[in-house]
Amino acid sequence: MVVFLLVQGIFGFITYQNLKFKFEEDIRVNTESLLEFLNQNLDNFIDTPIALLSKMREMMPQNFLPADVEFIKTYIASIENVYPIIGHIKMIDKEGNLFVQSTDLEEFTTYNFKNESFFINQPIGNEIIWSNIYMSTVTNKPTITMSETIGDLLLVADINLDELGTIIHTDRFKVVKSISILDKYGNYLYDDNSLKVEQRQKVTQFEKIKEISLNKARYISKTDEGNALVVAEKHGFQDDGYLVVELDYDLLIEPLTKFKRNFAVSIIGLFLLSLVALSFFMKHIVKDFNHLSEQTKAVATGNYNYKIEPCRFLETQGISNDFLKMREILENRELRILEINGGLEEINAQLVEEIHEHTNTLIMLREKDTDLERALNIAREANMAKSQFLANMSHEIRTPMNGILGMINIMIMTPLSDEQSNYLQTIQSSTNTLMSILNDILDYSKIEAGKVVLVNERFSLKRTLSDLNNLFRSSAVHKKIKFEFIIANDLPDTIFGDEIRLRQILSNLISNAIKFTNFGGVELYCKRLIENGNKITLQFKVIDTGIGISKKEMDTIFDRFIQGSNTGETKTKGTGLGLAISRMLVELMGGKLFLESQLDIGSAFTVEVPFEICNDQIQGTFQDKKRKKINDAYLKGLDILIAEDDLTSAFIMQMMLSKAGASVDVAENGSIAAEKSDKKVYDIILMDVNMPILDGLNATKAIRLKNNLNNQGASVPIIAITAYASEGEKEKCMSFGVNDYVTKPVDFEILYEKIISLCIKEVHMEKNSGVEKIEGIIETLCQASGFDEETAYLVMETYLKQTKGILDRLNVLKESESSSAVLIETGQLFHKLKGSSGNVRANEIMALAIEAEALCNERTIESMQEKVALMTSLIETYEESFRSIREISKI
Amino acid sequence: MYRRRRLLVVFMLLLMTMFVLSACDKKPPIKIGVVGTMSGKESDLSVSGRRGVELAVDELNAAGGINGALIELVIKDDLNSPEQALKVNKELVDEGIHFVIGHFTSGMTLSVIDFVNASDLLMLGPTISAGQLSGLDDHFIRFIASTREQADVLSDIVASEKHKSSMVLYDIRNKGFTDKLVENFQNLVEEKTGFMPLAIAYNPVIKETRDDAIQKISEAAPEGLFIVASAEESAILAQTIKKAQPTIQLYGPLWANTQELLRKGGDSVEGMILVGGIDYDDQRLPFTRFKESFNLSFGEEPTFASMYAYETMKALATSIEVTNSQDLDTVKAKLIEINTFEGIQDAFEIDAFGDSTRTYHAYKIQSGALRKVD
Repeated sequence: MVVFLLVQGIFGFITYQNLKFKFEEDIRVNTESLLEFLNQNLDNFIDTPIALLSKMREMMPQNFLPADVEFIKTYIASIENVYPIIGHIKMIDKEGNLFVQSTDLEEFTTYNFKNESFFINQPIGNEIIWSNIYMSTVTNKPTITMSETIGDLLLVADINLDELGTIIHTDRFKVVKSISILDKYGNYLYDDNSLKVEQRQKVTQFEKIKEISLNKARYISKTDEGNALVVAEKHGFQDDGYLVVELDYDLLIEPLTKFKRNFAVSIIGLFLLSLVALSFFMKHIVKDFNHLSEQTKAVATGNYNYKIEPCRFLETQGISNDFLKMREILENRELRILEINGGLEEINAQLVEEIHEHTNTLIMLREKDTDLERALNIAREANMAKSQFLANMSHEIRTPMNGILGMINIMIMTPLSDEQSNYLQTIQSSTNTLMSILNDILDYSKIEAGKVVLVNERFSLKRTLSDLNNLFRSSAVHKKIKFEFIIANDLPDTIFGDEIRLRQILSNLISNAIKFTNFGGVELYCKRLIENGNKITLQFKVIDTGIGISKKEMDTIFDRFIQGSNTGETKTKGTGLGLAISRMLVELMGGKLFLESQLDIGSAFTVEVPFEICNDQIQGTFQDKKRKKINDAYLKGLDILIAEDDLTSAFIMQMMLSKAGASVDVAENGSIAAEKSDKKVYDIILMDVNMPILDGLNATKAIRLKNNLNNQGASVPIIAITAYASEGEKEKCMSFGVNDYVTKPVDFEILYEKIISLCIKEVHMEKNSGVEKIEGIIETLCQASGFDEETAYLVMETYLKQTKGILDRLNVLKESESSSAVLIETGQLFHKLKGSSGNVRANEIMALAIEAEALCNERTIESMQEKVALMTSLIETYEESFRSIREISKI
Repeated sequence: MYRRRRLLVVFMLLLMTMFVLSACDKKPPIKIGVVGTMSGKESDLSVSGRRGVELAVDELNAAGGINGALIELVIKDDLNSPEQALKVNKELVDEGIHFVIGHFTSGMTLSVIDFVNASDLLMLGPTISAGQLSGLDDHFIRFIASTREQADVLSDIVASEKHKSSMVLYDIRNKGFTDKLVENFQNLVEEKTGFMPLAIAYNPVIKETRDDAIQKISEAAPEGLFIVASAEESAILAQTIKKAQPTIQLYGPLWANTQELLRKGGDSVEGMILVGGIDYDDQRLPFTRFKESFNLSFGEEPTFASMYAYETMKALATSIEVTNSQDLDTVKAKLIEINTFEGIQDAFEIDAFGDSTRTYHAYKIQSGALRKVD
C-alpha cells in the first residue's frame, strides 16, 4: 500500500515538474512578447517628438528675419495643438533670452534661460538633447525637454510625461498590474500612480530592478509585496532608464495553480479508493486467520477433532492444509511422549527425597557457622576493649610522667654529687623508656582505630636520612658494631610525604637492628625502585648481622606484643609493638614492609613506600643556619605569660624559659591569663588548652577581642599547648586566634624556636619586606655567581656602601644649579648605579636607575628627582634590613 | 503505544512552533514620517530634503538598521496647505508613528505645531528657522540655526558694501519665518549702518501685489535689495527687477539658496549674495562622499536642505539606537544630552530647548555657481 502510494507520488511529482517547466516557459515567452510590445510603444512615443523636431528643422528658415517670427510662432503653435505629447515650444537666442514661444506666457518674456540645463548642454549639429525630469512651471506637471539647434537659435520642446500612460498602457494584458518608466537613477518618469511622478519619488526596489536588468534576466522576480512580478528592461529613452512592469503573480500562475489543485484532488481520491479496497480484503483475510487461530488454540489444548471452516483465499487455503498435516503429526508425537513420561516420574520422586535430606544438613551447618561468628565477634570486641583500656591508661600515665621527666630535667641542672647524678641519669633513662612504651601503645591503638591521618608535606629525604644516621650512630658506636648508610646518588632531594612517620618506621627498624646485633654491623640501603612521572617508589633496606629470626617466628613477628627471640634469654626490652606499628604505617602509606632472615646470620627488613617528587628545592639553608644561631640566652628580655593549671607543668616551663633568659609570669587558668594580659604587655603568651574556669581557647578569643598588643605594638602572639595533636585540633586552635601550637610533653627546643620565630616575626613586622628583599637578593646572587653565602654578604655590604655614596652625591647635585655639566655627571652616576645594581641583582634599584637615566636624558628633572628619592628610601630600607640580618646571624 | 504517538505529535508541534517563532525573530521596522511639500511648484526644497533623509535611511538600513530593526519611511505631502499639513500629521499619529522629519517651511510647521505638541509626535525640522519656535521645551527640534544668524551674516555684508539705500521684498505667505527674518535684518542693518531699510511685503498668488511691489522698488531704486522668497519666486523677481535696474545688488536667504534659483534666475542672479548652509567647494571627505552618493542616488546635486535632513535623520537614528527606545521624551532627552553632532561640513549643537546653532556663510553667484564670500 505504502509502495503504491509512493509510486503514485513520484509519478505525480515528475508530471508536475514537467508541467511546471512548460508553464514557466510559456510565462517567459509571454513576458518577452509583452515587453517587446511595450518597448515598441515606447519607441513610438519617443520617435514622435524626434520626428517632429527633425521636421521642424527642415521647415525653419536658416537665417531668421523679423518677418519670420510670426510664421514660426504659428507653426510651432499648430504643432503644440496637434500633438498632446508636446507641451510648450520655445526658441532661445544666444544670450539665453526668449526669441519666440508657441503660447504667449508672460513670465517667459523677461525670463533668462542661461542657467537651464538645456542651455548649458547645447546640442551640436543635428543632435537632440534630453533634459532631466522637472516640474514644469507652465503645466505644473513632470516634464522633460528636448532641445536642438537651428541656426543661432535653440529650439526647446517640453514633453508631457503624463501622456506616456495613454501611449504605453494597454488593457490587452489582463495580467499587467502596473507599468512604470524610470530614469537611470530610479526616479519615476511615468507611473500609473501619477503622485509618484509628481512627488519625484524614487522606486523602492531600485537595486533589485538594476540587478534584474543587469543580468538580462527579463524574467520573473517576486516583489516584497509578494503577489507580483517585476520585469525590467532597459529602454532607449533619454539616457538609459528602466521599464518596469508589475504583473499579477496569482493570475500569472493561475494555470499552474489549477493543475496543482486538480492533481492533489486526484491523488487524494486514489488514496481513498485504495483504502476502501484494502479494508475490504483485510476484513476477509482477518476472518480466515481468526479461524486458523481458533484451530491452533483447539489443537494446543489437545482437541484434535475440531471442525475446520473452509478459507476464502487461495493463500490461506494452503496454510490451512499444512496445518491439518501438522495436526496429525502432533497427535502421534503426543501419544509417544505420554509413554516416556510415566517412567520419568518415578525417578523424579526419588530425587526429591534426596534433596530434602541435603537441605536439612545445610541448615544445621549454617546454624553452627553463626555461632562461631558470634563467638569471634565477642573475642574481637574484648580485644578492642583491651586495646582501648591500654590506650586510656597510657594517656593517663603520660601526664604524671611528663611531670617526672620535667623535674628530672630541672634536677640535673642543680648541683648534685656524682652518685646522685648517676641515679638521676638512670631514673631519666628508665622514664624515657617508659615514655616510649606508652607512646608505642598509644600509636598502635590510634592506628588500629584508624585515627592516624598521614600528612603530605614537602621534606628533604637526604636530611631525614642524615638525621637518622646522627641519631643512631652513637648507640652503634657504643655497641662497637659497624653502622653505615648506603644511599643511591640519583635520589630526589625533596619529596612529598609524611616525614615524621617515615622517620618513625626507619627509626624502629634501625633501633631493632642495633638492639639485636652484637657483632658485625647494621646497614641501611636506600634506592629508587619505580619512577613514573612525579611518583616515585623508594626502597629502604635495613640489614643486620644480628641474631636473626627463625622461620616460625617470621610468621608472627609483625603481630603485636611479639618480639623476636621471645625466650627471655636476650636482654631486649620494649613493648613488641614497634614492628606491628611500622608495618601498619607502611601499609597506611600504601607501601610494603617485608622481612628476610636466617637464624644466627641476620635479618633484612625492606620497606617500599611511594612518594611524590617535589620539584622545588626546600630553602633550608637559611632557616637551618638561623636556627643553629639561637642559643639559650636568646629569649633574654622577652616577657612571657604562661597559662597552665597543672602546677608541675607550669613550674617546669617557668624554669626552662627563665633559664633561657625570659622573664615569666604564670596564670592558673584562662580567666587569670586574660586579666594579666590586660594589665601588662607581654611579648608572647603560652596557653594550655585544657584549663578550669576558662579554657585556653576561649581565653585566647577574649584576648583577641580586646586586641591586646605586644611590645612591638603588634597583636600579641599566642602559642597553644595541647595534649591532643590531631589534625582537627590544630585547625580548631587556629580558628580561635592562636598563632601556633606545641604538643605535650613539651619539647623545649621546638618551643624556643616557635617563640623566637613569632617574636622575631613581630619585631620585623614592618621591615619584613626589606628583610625578605635582601635575603632574596643575596640568594639570587649566590645562585647566579656561585658565591658562598658569606662572600655574598660581603659583596652586598660593599654595594650598599657604594650606592649610599652615589645617592649622597646625587642629592648634593640636586641642590646645585642644573647646568649641563651637572646633568652629565648625574647621568653618569645613574649609569654607574644601573651597572652595580645589576651586578648584585638589586633589580628594583636597577629598574629605577634605568628610568632615572632616561628621564635625565630627556631633562625631565622633577620626575628624575622623584626616582632619586625613591632609590634613597629603598637603599635605607635595604641597609636597615641588612644590619638586622647581620645582627641575628652574629648571635 | 497510542499515547506515545500522541506525545510525539505534540512534541513535533512544539518544535515547529519554536522554529516559526525563531524565524519571526526579525524585528518590526521603525517607522519614521517625512512631511513636506512633496509636489507642485514649490516642492523643490522638500523633495531635496526628503532625498537627504532617504539617502541616510539607505545607508542606515544597509548597515543593518537601528539595533537590528530596519527603518521604514512614511512620506506625506502637505501640498503647501495648512489644512493638508494638519491632516497628514493626524494620519501619522493614527499610524502609531512617533518621529517625523519636516516640514520644510516655517509656515507649514507653525500651522501644525500646536497639534504636534499635544500629541505623541516628535517633529524634527531640518530647515525650519522660525523665531516663534525657538526657546520652547516642546515637541519640536530645530536642526538649523534661527533667522537671527542669517540676518547677521547678510547685514554684515550690506554694511560693508556701504549702499546708499537698501530695501527688503518679502513673501508674506511663509509667515513666522519671513517676518522674523525681515525684522532681524532691518534691526541689524540699522544697528550697523544707522539706516533702517524699508520692507515691502507681497503675495505671489495675487499677481497685483507682486507688480505693485516691483513698481515701488523701481521707483525707490535702492542700491541693495534683500529678496525673501522661495528660489522659484526669487528667480522670477530677479529676472524682472534686473531688467529695470541692472546694477542693483541682490541678497537672498538660505530658503532661496537651491539649484532652482540658479537654473531659473539665469543671468539676472549673477552677483546675488545668499546665505549658504552648504559649501560646494568643500573638498573634505565627508562632504565629497555625501555629494557623490547623493548624485549617484538621485542624479542631482544636494542642497542645504538635503544635507541638513540627512544629518537630522542620522542624529535621530543615533539617539534611538543609544537609548534603544522609541519613546519620544527619551529620544528627545538623548538628542539634547548628546548636544554636539558631527555634521557633514560643520559640527552643530542642540540646546536644552531643542534649538540648533550652526555657522552660516555668505555665498555669491559667479558664472552660474555659488562661491563663498570671505
